[in-house]
Amino acid sequence: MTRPPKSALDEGALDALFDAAPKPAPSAALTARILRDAQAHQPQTAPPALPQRGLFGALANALGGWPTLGGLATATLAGLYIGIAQPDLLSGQIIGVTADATEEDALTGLLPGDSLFFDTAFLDEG
Amino acid sequence: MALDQSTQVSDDALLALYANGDPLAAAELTQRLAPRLLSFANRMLCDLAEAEDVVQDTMLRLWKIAPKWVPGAAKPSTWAFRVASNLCTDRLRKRRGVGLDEIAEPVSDAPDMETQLMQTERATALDDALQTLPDRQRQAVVLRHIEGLSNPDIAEILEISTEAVESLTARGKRALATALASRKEELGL
Repeated sequence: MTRPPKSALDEGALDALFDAAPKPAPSAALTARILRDAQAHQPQTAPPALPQRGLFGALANALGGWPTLGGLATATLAGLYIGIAQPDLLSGQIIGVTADATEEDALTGLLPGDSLFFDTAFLDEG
Repeated sequence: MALDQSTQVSDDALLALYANGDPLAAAELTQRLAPRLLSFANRMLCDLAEAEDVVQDTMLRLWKIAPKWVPGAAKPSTWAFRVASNLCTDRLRKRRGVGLDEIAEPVSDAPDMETQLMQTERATALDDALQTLPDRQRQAVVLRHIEGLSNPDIAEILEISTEAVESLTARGKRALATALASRKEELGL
């Protein structure tokens, strides 16, 4: 290792020079320039994104939202059930209509309280 | 975020706050980094106006990289010193061919008082001696002995090994000691 000549500055004196070395403070103008850049490049916090609405979402919205869809679904399922299960109450009547029953027979039982509220005699007349 | 709480906040966290739109984070980071970067760049370039441009450019790059910053990957200060160091090196390379006499004297804003004359002369002598060192030696000596950075941090900034930093600073100090030998009495050392 090369040693400095004896006349060279000793380490303590050199350290004193380092410690006393002036450090310029940033001017107000430089700070302003830096902060102007910072402001110009600062990412803006975006507002929370709205949930994406697909075709189904848009359709649901147009129909009045989930309550409406719930009603529609219930009605659909009820119709499907009636179609598949053919409850006794209905099947008898439907069979009556499609087979050889008269119009009066077909209507009997479908109208509330038949003879009490509705006189079906006119059907025979026509 | 209140500024009085910011002393507890790391540079990493401040950068993340800036990226998230905090209006005060940039001012705090500038206050922390700009003085050290300016001191370093001024000592490397011996030109305050150029050093200011380097600091502004370095900080600008920091603002731009903030959204992509990976916390913990590197210290923002180390990253900034590396950018400033490279910018200084670029400017020094462009000066090639310019004689030493044409390089502007370091600007001193010390008041013209007799009691500070010696201090100013010492600072000028140190800066003059630093200018005689090769760029890498000067960078290592300034970062280690004037800016007070650790050897591992300097190694990261200069992209060399810690051993290489130790070697650069040791050789730089010896060269400085020799360069200043003739001015020992004049400087009261």
